[in-house]
Amino acid sequence: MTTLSAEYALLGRIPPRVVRIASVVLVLVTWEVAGRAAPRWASYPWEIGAAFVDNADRIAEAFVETFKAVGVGYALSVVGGVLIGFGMARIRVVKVALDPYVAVLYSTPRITLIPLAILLIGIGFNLRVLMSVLASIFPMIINTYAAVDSVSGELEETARSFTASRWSITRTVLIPGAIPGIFVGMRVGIIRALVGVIVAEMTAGAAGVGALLLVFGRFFQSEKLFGPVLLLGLVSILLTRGLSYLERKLAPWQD
Amino acid sequence: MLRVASVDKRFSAEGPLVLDDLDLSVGQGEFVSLLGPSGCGKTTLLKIVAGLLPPTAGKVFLEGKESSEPSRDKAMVFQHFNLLPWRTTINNVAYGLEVQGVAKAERLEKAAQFLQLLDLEGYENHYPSQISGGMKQRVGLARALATEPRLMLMDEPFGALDALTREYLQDELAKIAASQNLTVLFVTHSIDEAIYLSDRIVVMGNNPGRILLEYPVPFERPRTTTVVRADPRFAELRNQVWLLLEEEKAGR
Ligand SMILES: Nc1ncnc2c1ncn2[C@@H]1O[C@H](COP(=O)(O)OP(=O)(O)OP(=O)(O)O)[C@@H](O)[C@H]1O
Ligand SMILES: [Mg+2]
Repeated sequence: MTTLSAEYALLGRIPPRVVRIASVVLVLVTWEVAGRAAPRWASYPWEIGAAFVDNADRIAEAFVETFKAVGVGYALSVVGGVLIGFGMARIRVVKVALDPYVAVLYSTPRITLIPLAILLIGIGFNLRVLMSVLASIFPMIINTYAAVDSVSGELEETARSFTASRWSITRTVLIPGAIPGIFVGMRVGIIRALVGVIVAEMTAGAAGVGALLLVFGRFFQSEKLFGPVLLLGLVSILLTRGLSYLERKLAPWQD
Repeated sequence: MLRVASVDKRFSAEGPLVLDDLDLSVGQGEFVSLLGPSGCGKTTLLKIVAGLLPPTAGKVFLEGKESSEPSRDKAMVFQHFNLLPWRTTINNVAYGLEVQGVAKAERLEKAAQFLQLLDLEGYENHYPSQISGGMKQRVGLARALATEPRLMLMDEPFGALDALTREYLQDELAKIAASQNLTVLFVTHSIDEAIYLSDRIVVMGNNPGRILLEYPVPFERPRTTTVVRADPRFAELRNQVWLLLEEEKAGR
């Protein structure tokens, strides 16, 4: 047995949960000690926690504002992306007509569109929704398209050989075949929709978490910055986990 | 029972002639193997018979009636199994019946019956990703059999399997074909497989795809691979077919 696997064996006896908690505690304690030793240079966990509690109302308000835009933008992306992805996979004209837009928009850094978008629709709620749609609809389109396209050959032919009608091909082959791709798109898309809204808020926003972070940052209030950022991370993890859970329920055939 | 009459096939107007004036008949209860070099049009012919591809010229008749679309009296077994990954074994077996509009209770009962016939009991609720290749093809076979077709079309169904599994399934298929009195059109690359299974071997040539010769197989059915292999007529027939295929290769 090599040293490496011996080490793994040792680690194997300590529950991963314990290791994880120990690691977090160690970092927090080190941070706290170092932060108190040099208070000008950085804030430390206790201070960050206190600032977070003090500003809970403003932070909550900002999160609600941000996630309203994320919710609307993401919903539009999921529905629109699935429909467009299906259309492109099944109707040749749609694919040929939309290919150039998808290719160009997908490879353009979306942030460069913000000035143009502001000129067109201003800096309100709509701008943030638009940026989240632009950020998240392409992974939806592309992954839905790829999944539907991959079941459109042999499996569709198999269904036809058993005299399946168009509708029963859609119901028994195309829709279940699209589900894994839709979920890939949804997992990538939720994070992008969030980033899209935050970016819009940081560049043009008067509201939301992005704008709040700018305010805190502008006044050198680093202890206030950490809380909302960590919370964003936490919410992102919960959302992707939730989607993975939903996928296991809806598509249990994948291993 | 099945008659393919003067079928031509081109995939495009200027494309090469893939099938050239092809005639073929299969009798009720007969097991016919199509053997030929890769690319000679075996799959194309099978798909035309299945109604999945339109012929460029010619017609397909099933019991005297023209049959140009997929229909309930034909069922196909595919080389790559083509199971629906999101369906469990039992629901895959019931699939053909389901799209044909058979009520749920009835189709599940029938599926269970064919699962049993193919030794798949205990795997009803497994997904395709959880079973072996040999089992997948048994599911594919059960799915086709469950629709109780008059004509079974099989496109190299055992081509993707290892030798032992393949032989086991050949014996299985031979038994089922005899007991259910199936009419089968079977595509294969393997001369041995064609001899084990069929009443008649149809050898195709390449460029354009056409029928070269037919050989009756002199063994009684049902039979097993072991018994056939030990018979001197097996080696003789195998040699004849092999020589014809070699000649065809050299002639081009
Ligand atoms: N959809 C298609 N479009 C154009 N050409 C095709 C198409 N399908 C098959 N062909 C051509 O038709 C010919 C016959 O193909 P087919 O698949 O029927 O051969 P096969 O005898 O089944 O070969 P194999 O033993 O390798 O499976 C080949 O030359 C192939 O390139
Ligand atoms: Mg083929």
